Amino acid sequence: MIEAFSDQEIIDALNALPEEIRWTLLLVDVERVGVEEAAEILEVPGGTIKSRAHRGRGMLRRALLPLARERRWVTNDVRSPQGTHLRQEESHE
Amino acid sequence: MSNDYRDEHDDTLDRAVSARLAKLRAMPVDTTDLDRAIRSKLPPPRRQWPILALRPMRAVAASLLLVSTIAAVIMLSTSSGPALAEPTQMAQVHQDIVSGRIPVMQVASIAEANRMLNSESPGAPTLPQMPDSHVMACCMKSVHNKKMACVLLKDEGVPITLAVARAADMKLAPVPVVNRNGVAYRVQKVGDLSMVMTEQNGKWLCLIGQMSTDRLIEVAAQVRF
Repeated sequence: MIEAFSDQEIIDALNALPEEIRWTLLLVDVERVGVEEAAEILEVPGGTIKSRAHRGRGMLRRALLPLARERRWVTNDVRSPQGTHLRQEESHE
Repeated sequence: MSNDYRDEHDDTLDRAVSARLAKLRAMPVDTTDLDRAIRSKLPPPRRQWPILALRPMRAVAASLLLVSTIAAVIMLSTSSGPALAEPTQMAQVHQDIVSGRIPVMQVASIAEANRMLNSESPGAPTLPQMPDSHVMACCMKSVHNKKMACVLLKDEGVPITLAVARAADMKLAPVPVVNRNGVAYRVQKVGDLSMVMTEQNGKWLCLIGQMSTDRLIEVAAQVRF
């Protein structure tokens, strides 16, 4: 499902994320810099990079969810695990 | 939903998002050389010391040595390596200049700005040519001890800060890239401010202003070295 969004939509969603999260995703996921290198660049522990990356991906999914709903790619019933890669998450972060 | 299932599902979702983000490298967002640039600037990986195997006194000595080595590396990297200008820091510079929170010199042309900046700070980075009607004021700032020449421009009444530093002194921020006429512009938003960074002729440029990124890129395209 996330594949269906345009690059610009993904970038817009990225830009709306908090700066430290955005930089982490840009380094780790876009640039594919290793966790340790990203940790050195951003001057934080490797564990922080891992947790920011995980949190950031969740935030990105949630940021894109309204758009997916608007386009009827997902329904309000998001309990089905097979339904979508944009599952609405409970607030456990 | 069990915790195990949830963890596994989260991993799947994470991988999907991560794979999608990786594809951003293929669009006009071409940041392939950034990775190389960053890797070349990073110090080599530190060796893992077998501290636990050492006797306590040796362990203390090794710790002290390690701490001093790290301190030396940090001092060396902050004084001589290229600095990363964080977008929030650059936005603050712009706001300080526009609001008059830092002293600036009123100038009417780039040539005058270059003269003033060089007299205040010999060896200051040279500002590129811009239409003189845009030029209002200039000042020197530093980011992580790297000198930046700043000039306040006005584009249709909207203030823009143009910061210039030596390209060797600054790292380009790992943000999305827009290519226009063969020039790669790194674009960024901080609140209602747009930011465009690029490198030309050995200079690092950063333009900041409260306007669309496209308009800021058009202004950046007027820069001439």
